Amino acid sequence: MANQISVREPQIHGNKNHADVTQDVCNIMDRKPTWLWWLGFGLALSALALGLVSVSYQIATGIGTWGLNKTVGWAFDITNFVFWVGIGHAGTLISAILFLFRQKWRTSINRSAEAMTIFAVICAGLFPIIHMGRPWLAYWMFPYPNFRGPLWINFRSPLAWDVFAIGTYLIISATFWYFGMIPDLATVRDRAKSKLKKFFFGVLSLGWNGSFRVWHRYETVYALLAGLAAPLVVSVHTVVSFDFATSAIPGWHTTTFPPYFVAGAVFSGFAMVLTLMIIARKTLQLEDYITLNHIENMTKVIILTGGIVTLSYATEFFMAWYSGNGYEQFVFLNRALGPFAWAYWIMVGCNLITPQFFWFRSIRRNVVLVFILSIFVNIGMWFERFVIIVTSLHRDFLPSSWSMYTPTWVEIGTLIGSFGLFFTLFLLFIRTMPMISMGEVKSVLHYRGNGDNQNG
Amino acid sequence: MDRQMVAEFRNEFDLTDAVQAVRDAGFEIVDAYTPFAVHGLDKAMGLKKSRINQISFLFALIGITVGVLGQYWVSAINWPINIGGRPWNSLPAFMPVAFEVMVLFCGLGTVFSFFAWRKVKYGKQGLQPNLRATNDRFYVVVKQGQERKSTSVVKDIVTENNGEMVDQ
Amino acid sequence: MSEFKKKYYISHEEKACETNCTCSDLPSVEDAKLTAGFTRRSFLKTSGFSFAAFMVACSKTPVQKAIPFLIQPEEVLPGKAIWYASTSFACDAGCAVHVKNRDGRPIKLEGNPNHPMTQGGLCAQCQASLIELYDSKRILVPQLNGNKSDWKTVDKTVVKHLRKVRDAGKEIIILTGTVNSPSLLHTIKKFKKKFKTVSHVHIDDYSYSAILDAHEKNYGQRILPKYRFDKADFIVSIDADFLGSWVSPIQFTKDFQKNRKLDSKQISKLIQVESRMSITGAKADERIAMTPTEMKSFMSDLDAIIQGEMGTNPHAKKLAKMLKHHRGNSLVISGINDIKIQLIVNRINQNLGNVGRTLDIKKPSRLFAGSDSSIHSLIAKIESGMVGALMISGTNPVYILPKGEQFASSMGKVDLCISFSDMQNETTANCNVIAPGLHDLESWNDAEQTTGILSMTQPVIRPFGENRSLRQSLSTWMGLKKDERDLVRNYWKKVFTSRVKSGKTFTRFWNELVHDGFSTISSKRKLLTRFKDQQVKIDTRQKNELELVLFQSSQMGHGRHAENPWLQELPDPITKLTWDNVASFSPKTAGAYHLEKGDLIEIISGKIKIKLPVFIQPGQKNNTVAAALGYGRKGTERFHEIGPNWLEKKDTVKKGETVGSSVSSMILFDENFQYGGLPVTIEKTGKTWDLALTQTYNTLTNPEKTSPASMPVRPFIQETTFNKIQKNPTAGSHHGHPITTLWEDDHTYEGHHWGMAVDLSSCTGCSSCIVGCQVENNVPVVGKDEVLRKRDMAWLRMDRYYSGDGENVDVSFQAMMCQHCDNAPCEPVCPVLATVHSSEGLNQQIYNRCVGTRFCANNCPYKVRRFNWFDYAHDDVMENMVLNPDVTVRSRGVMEKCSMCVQRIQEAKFEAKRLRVPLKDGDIKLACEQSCPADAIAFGDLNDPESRISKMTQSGRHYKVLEELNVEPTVGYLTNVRNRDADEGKGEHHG
Repeated sequence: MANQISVREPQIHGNKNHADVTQDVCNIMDRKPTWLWWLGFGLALSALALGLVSVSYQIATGIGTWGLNKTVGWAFDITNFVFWVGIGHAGTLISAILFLFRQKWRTSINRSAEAMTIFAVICAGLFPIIHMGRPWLAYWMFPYPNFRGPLWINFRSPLAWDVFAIGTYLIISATFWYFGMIPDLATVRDRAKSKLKKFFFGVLSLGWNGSFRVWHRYETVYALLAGLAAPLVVSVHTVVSFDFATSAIPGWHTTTFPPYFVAGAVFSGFAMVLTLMIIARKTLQLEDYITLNHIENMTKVIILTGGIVTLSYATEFFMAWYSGNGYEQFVFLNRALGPFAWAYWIMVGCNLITPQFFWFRSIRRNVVLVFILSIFVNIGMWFERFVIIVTSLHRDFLPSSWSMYTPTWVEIGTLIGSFGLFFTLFLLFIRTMPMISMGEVKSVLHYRGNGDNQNG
Repeated sequence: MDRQMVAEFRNEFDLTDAVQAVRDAGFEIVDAYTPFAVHGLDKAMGLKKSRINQISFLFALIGITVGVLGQYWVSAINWPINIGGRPWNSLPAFMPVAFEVMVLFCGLGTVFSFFAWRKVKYGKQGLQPNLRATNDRFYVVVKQGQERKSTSVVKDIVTENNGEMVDQ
Repeated sequence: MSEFKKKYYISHEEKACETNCTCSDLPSVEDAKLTAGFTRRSFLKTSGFSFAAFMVACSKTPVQKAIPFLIQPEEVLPGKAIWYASTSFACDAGCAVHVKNRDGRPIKLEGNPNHPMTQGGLCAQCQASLIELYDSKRILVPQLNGNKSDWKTVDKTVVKHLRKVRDAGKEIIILTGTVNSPSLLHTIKKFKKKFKTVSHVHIDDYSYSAILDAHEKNYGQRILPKYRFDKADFIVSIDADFLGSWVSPIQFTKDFQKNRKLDSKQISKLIQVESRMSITGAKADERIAMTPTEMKSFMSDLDAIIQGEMGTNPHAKKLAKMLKHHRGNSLVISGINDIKIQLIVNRINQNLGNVGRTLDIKKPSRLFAGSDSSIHSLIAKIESGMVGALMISGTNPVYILPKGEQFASSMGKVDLCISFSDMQNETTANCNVIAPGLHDLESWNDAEQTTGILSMTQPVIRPFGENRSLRQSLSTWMGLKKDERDLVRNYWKKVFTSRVKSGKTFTRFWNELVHDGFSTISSKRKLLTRFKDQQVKIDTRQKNELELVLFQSSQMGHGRHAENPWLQELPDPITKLTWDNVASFSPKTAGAYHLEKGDLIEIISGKIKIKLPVFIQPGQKNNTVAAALGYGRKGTERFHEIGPNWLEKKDTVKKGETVGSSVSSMILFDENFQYGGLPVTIEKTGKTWDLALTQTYNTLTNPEKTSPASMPVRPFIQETTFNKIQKNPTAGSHHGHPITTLWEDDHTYEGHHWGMAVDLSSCTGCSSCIVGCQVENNVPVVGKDEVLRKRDMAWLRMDRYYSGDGENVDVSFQAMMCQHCDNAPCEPVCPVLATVHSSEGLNQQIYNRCVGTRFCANNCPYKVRRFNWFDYAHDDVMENMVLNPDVTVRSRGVMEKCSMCVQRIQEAKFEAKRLRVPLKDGDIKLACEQSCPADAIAFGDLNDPESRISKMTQSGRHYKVLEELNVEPTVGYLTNVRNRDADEGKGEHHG
């Protein structure tokens, strides 16, 4: 194995040695932030502020400040929830599933992908809480022992399942993320100059010393976590899809939802990872680490999942027709031709057409194009959830209560706010934590030199 | 306790070969310090497979049991209440939560038992031959035998694998 | 309500006075306030305020110590409802009611089932009138020249002035709505004696003068016949909305249903001839759309053919044939207030031998006495300055008269104008004395609405202010200080021997009268001459481009209740419109004028212009424009701040504007008030107007672009014809194939299993059930903007679907409320178990557990759940007294819905338990059920095979909406049956 040299294009460019990797990654944290970073951070913060204002006003005044009505009880709130949960999926997928498949190329992006997961799940988790009429009672969703005489939650409710799914997902992926970071934290600790930094990372790295006996078990645990996270990530969006699949409303009451939602989640997730990675590699000069290879690989995943999503759309229409159920058929005709047709066709345009560009290598390797297309996918996937939720509700069984839906500025503000929160957290993360997994990158360097060059 | 010898290497391949050779020469490897999990070093050092996966399986079992029985007890025994005409024991509906609980127990259980084994020392500077062990240097710690010449043997193996002894 | 538990009391005052003590122990506002704390927590704060409000309102020494019922009136127990029989005059007909009193506060009106006229039915207006009692804008002290004053000064000035007028030989006019109270008429007579020059003029909000005048010409007496819809087999109604707003709709609905029993061999047939779409038209077996002018020619043809002469009108030919066939038990009525038409109607009925059989002129109705000609002369008199004093009670001439402004200005010519209204209105603004009157619930009164039946009104709460009834004021001014009750009682004592033919003593008679709320009396027969035929010439040549049709909507009448939020937000049964009146056009006409729904147009007749938003009404006659009376009342400006307040809120009315706009000025006033046929032109303003509709998609047919082949029409309304149902009792009702379930059934309902059924062929869509529900369950009023945002809160809605097209549509109503499904889809989705199923099959909503995820509402196939989007205003402390203490007032962020009046179920069960008797079918009547004049709603125990509900459920006509979803609703519907030949069926709904 010692003379095994990869014939493929190397994972990392600019033939670096181990020290260079440490140097490059830690530099991002050491050097002063660029004006680009400040700009992004400023934008993110102001978006977050807008979100805070909207949400506080809504909680103080009532859900009435949203555009909902007696027929359409969910719209932006749950759309955003599903959207963010979906985004979250790519992270775990990259770090866990690709790890199990021994996909070496994941090493330079998995750290930030996992971080993205956690931040996305945090954003997602907010919506079920603020969408409640009485959010201050959100803790009633947990089955805690109480003295109110037997009083429990309803384990038959998909919303209760959500609580467990999202909760578990957040905890496990956070653990996975942190656990994977411990060796790097130690690295940062050992090269830190300032006392504060030494102490801070000293605490976080839990006295890691690179002992191989520890490494040995560490690897096993990491594999186990990956093994857990993989089915977890599938289960989470399955459960989210149950919110709709187990209901009685035509357009929601659909057995194909679980795979359809999971694929959609990965689809949107990878698009979001691309967006972030492309920004990161530009602003932080990580071209050597996040190479065109990485980008190309991810676009390939997008082609696949995009394909599954397309298939799902087709299946829905087929099943509606095949079921012979008039209400079902109406809902789908109404999606494509009804008052919300515009939203439906945006969805189709973004989710069905966009991925097709990635069949061409030239486009896959054109960073700018990929960036633009990835954003289109994100838009498309947001609209997918909007279409599923709103068009199914606004015209269901009894025509007497059919109605339309238009968002208020409060809802739009909240959506923008969630993006603000997401990017704020992410920008803080890349400044304070090793955003590339040094250990794992080093392991794929296959460096055989004597490592004694300028930096040491 | 016996004296130990520490050797430093520039890359993982040299290290692995050296470790292999030293062990073949009948020396006992105390430990190795590397910036990342070196592939194949475990075999070289002759480490046994970790049994932690059995622990995590145990936790998974506990998780699923708590999940299923808990929900059954709540919905069918402690507080049976007619919800949309569904039966007291709606087992299919309990599956998602049961699964999540299992994953949660298993995941946290595994990690914490790892920490327990590791006896984490919060904030302590790790005990390692050199700070570069977490950066770009690879160290091996060998238990020095009784014979005088043993030192030289190890030294030879190290040097021919382009490593060098570190004296402490 | 169960008979055994319901006690009808002689009022406390009554008891008190039997034991000759003062009447001060009548439950007062203080009492209400003081016990309030015990009834509901939130009431403590409310009452704290109401106390203050009360202090402002009038200067009585308040009870200082908050000890409940320190001076407790007899019979009043905290938390125990007491029922009083009374009569409400909120609607023109006057409904007999039982008033529910809790802790001294009247909190609900319900129909008096024993009363021979309304027979337990109750109209929306009367039910809603309750809140007007607690209106904080009421005038509670007399006013002199616009300033607060006191009775002493007012009485002095008035009397002084009246004397002056009498001595000057000028006239004193008492202008009232129709007075059919014998005692009041007596008082007025005495008043005439006292001040010689007095004359009493009746004016009705909506004039029926032509009918009376016609009868005077034909039979020598100004009478309004009593129509017997229960006797008539074949009814032709020409523009008379007798199920909705004409004369006495509740009574007529009750009677009409009597002859529509589907188990009998034959049922009556109703043919409605009209221009607009009324609920009578919606219910009609056949409906013929005509313009007002066409109606006139049609009438004369019909008349001619029946007399055996020539007539060309095809409809007339057909109907004449049928009418002749039903000689003697047919009935022809017309709502056209035109003496010529009414003379024809009389002749037709005379020729068909209906007089004395389907319409009674020997014991006529006394509901309306107004005479249009006398209004003419009155105005002339006032103009000429012959009138020295004008007393106005129970009417608002400045608003209802076509030339209101003119009347107002001519009132200036009268030195003394006295209004007895307890609300500011267009007329009081021009009066120099306001002697505020009493609400029905505060006053003693009697009425002989129909000859031989005396209805009683008794106070159920001590007057809020110092108000006096007209009766009291008049007698005070005559110098006889008499307590109001004595005025009524003494009158009857006096006439007892002559008018009451029964062995009873007077005290017994009086007690029973007050207790039952009515009594039969004998009244001297009016001498009718034999039928004197009158020749009428109707010119049938005239042809109009566009004819205006004015009508009374069943909820707003002629604007008397414009300031009643419940009625303003009650959707019109046909248009489903709230908070506005509109100019409605047929689709074809609208197309011809390029009008869209919501366009703001001007209706122009001569110099008069009225701005109204356009509404497109299927079934309306082409070339007509219809508009509702009763809107545009000045006082409605008050609603500009109703509804939840937030950033994007739009006011219900802008400051200084009114809800809707008044069309009174368009009433054609020649020899009669003509409400139809005025030729008008229209002009677009280019502006548009938001119409707050509670239902915006109006048919069961899918929009054609998105309509699947497998289901062009949704099978929610299932209907058939009488002939079909005769042959096959299950005709028209469709059931899916039986559904098997995978769940093992853990839930068998031993004991009770509550259920409900609505008979679509009885239901007229009148919507009084909606108000009944709103009052009973403290459903908030949310204002126009919220309705526009589709957030109306009504637990019970009246779905209305059209089928067919153009002028030729069928209208179907469907009362839709929580279906209390046994497999409720809303329940499993709630994460916190805030909605669960009771052991008696009720779908319960636990407000204080609800966190407001709205998942239940999303998952409800019937969309009957309502969410509290805001904290709905409860800051009018007076108004809060109307709240039902048995029902929680829901806070912001929780879901709510029909509870099947669970508080009533519990109450009845406890009572039965207390008395150790089993609960009988009918002991529990739900709020919607009890107010239904058509007895279309049935509630009861499905486990009791003898109950009415079980029988209805077993009926072949029974079906459930969306039963294929296997949600197993316990609410079912009975097919809508029309008495028509199958081929007449227009767009018959089918599944």
